[in-house]
Amino acid sequence: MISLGLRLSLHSGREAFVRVALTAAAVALGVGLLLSALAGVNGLHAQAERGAWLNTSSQTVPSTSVGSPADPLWWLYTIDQYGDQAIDRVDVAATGPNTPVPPGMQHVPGPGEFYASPALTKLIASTPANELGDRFPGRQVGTIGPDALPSPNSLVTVVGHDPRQFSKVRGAQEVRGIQRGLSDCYSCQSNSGNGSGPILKWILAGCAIVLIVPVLILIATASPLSAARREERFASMRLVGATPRQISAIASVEASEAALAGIAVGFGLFFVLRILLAHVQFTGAMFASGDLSLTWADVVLVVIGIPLTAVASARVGLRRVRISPLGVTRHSPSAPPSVVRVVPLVAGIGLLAYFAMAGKPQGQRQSADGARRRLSATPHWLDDGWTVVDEGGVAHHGGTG
Amino acid sequence: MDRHHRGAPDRARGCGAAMSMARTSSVAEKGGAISEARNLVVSFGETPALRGANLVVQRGEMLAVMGPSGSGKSTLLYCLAGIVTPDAGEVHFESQRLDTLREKARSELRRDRFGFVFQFGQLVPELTAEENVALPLLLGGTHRAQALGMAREWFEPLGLEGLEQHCTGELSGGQSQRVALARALVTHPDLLFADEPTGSLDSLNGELVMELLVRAAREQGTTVVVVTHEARVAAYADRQVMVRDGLVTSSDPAIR
Repeated sequence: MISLGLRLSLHSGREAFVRVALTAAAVALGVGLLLSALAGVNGLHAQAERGAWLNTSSQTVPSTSVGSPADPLWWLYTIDQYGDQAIDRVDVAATGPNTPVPPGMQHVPGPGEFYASPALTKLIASTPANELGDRFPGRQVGTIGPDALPSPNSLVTVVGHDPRQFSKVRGAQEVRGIQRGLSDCYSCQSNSGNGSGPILKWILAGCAIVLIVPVLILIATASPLSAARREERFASMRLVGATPRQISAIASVEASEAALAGIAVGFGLFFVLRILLAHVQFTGAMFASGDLSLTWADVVLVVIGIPLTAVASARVGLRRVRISPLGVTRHSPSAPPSVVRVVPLVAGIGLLAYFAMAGKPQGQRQSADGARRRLSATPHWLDDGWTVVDEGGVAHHGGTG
Repeated sequence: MDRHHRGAPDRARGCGAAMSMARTSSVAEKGGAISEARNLVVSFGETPALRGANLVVQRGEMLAVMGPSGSGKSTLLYCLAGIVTPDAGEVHFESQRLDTLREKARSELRRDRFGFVFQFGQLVPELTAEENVALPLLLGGTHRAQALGMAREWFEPLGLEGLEQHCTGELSGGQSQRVALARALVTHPDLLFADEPTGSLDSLNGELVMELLVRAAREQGTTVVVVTHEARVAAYADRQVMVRDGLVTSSDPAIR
């Protein structure tokens, strides 16, 4: 049935070719957008993981990999502001040789020393000292490594102090371990713009699911093209003995063929969209190279899921008609496809374009809130395929980030 | 020619070769019912099509079902072919009850044991002439090359040589109908159903199609049920029955 299905779909005239091409284009767009959304989710996760150490608190469990019991480390996290840019500042004071060391640096900075991220180092160098550099007393002893930075443009500093003096500072707390990831994080809703990460991840995951809908709708839009001729062909085949299952299989082959072509093009589209997406600052922080990657599960989900969805969509379409050897009868009159059905896809593309255009560097907390507000303009799908944009609806339920 | 394909086991079959070694069949030679309709009742909405129709089709005969438009003759044929399920009554094909079979089994019967020639051919326009002829074989799982080879053997005896690769849209009405005939015969069916097979053709082409149909069917030993309102088409039959108001009203003896 596969070869017969391929033969029928590939040599069925211009109208049928347009139907296959349109379906493939729909799938390609859907796949491109879906992969971009999944890569975005992965990117946010990677950002949040790298920045998790900034969420260290007195409740953070000490690392078990350290041989001797850790000497406590005095820790105070604050957000500093320079212009419209937020700076993650951690003031620390080591109490002994076994004090846990934050990631991305060789040792805990001593009194009069500080580490700074490359972006902050550059900013300090290009800014008058009385505006920024004087906030960090002493000398810079190194730059924080990329493994400890949510983003290449993250502004982060770790400033060292004397433990006896620093222990008296209000808000400073003793910690015995450094937060290494999100899995056992006690207070990951704060600081560094990462607080919005989990929420954004859910929103992007929602977007990924929502982006499947335009694929279905466009496939459904393409299906009526040459449908009458196709159904008559199926009726002729039923007359000479094609079983309903064989007809269904042939329709599935036609749908799969378009879906597979669409997936191939969709992956190409994803690699183009990924370049744009890298500049989108969902949390106010740029993605590092490699953040916007796909897991095997993502790839398998798309490569298997999309053709299955296309096949399911084609089968549902066939259920609307009864194809007998004598001809075709419709179970219910189908409304002619309207332009409205394309609205969801356009909205999805618009959403991504909006992020691409509007994702300018801002203060991180401010940017995170802005991103959440923007993402909250996610299309909400109604049964009939119409969309309503619920501006700000999600932000009302979100945390403070 | 492969004589052992699915649905056509061990019978002396063929088209070109088979035609030359024709074995003439008659009702008397064959004997026994191959298909039977008992008290068939079929309605389409409020409109009754059959109102207790009875008919026995003898193995090997060529039976013409005649009647005016709307008499129910086509519906009777569809019931015998398992295309339409009667509201009441029974349809038997050989030893099995056809009207209670599942759709899959009925489809397989249509594919392997029955052949169809309808008024407008019902060809698949996307396929070439030879692919159309090979379609029942392809649906039955015969390898494509083998199926096409078997299909091509029907082109010369039916006067279609050179048209194998043509799309059906490029064929004349008579040629299309002969392609449909080849498709009906390629599986060497036990029972061939023809519904107004010459209805869309001029008299010359109509006669050509009927002559080929009768010749091929007789050579293969295929039973033929032909629905027609044309006396000249019915004249090819061994026996004629008349359908009026949903009932089989008369069964005349063989004409030839």
